[in-house]
Amino acid sequence: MTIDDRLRRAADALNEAIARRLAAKDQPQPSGAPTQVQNAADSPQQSANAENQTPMQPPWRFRGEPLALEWVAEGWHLRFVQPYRETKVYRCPGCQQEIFPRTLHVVVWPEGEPSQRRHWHKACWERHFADELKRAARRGHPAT
Amino acid sequence: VPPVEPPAASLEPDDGGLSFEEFMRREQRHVMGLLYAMTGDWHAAEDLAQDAFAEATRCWPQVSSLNRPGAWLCRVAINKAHRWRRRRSLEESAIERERSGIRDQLDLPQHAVEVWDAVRRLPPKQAAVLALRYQSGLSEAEIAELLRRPIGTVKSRLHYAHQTLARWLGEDDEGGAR
Repeated sequence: MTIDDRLRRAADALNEAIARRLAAKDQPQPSGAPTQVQNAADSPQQSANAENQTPMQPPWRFRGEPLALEWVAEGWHLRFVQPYRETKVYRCPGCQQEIFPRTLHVVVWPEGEPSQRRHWHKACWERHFADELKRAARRGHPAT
Repeated sequence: VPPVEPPAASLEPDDGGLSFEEFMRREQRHVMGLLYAMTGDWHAAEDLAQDAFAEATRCWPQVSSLNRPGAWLCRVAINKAHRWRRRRSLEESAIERERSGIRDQLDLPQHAVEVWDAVRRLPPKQAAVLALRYQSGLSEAEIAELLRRPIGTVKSRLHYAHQTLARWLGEDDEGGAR
């Protein structure tokens, strides 16, 4: 077999693999990702809006309860990325440092705008979120 | 010196009215193939493709009025792949090794893995020409037009690439470079 043929065969194989990967990516994402999120289904949007669960508390401060992986709070949608799932390096907008693979971090986006999602270190988001809340409180009560 | 000229937005304008979404849908597979062939890492290919599309949105009016926006995108993607490769070869830190250790590869048959690994060891310009020739299935004339190089340059790059690959993969090269 000549090099030409081998390259052609390799290109065919690559094309097939890419088609497969793109198809797999398009399908399972709507239903595939949230399978782990079932325990978060108890506290999604409605309860976050209706009974205000002391919003000053960043919502992952749960002790002894099953760790929910997804929340909606204060107009933000959070999702944890567990260490074993993560294989990419992101840059955290809070500290401008890289988030290394295999670290727990949190994906955050304004509700309803999944294209705006950003990957944060958990601690960085916590700090940022606390600041945000303080700012909101100041806006709400200019006297204090 | 960047291996490929920066795209000049001066190809003959054609009828506009191409929506970005449609453009993206049409070109995605092609660009991903090209980038994967040149990087060998699905994540890198995804990131670079996203960068390329982002660049396209930034100057979408000009790009969409190009004669062949796809060719523009290819050039951008190839430049990005070259830059990625250079950066990759410079950084030899532990992080980088870690990152390459968890490189996200497609499950290709063994013969394809061998060939593409060899292609990625070639000089970047030759690798780019091979990727365009085989992965994108362009003719030599089309590659020359896309890269804005004389056709002789494209032919010689293909020829040398074939020769080297033949040596590495232990095949005879007859009829390889055409």
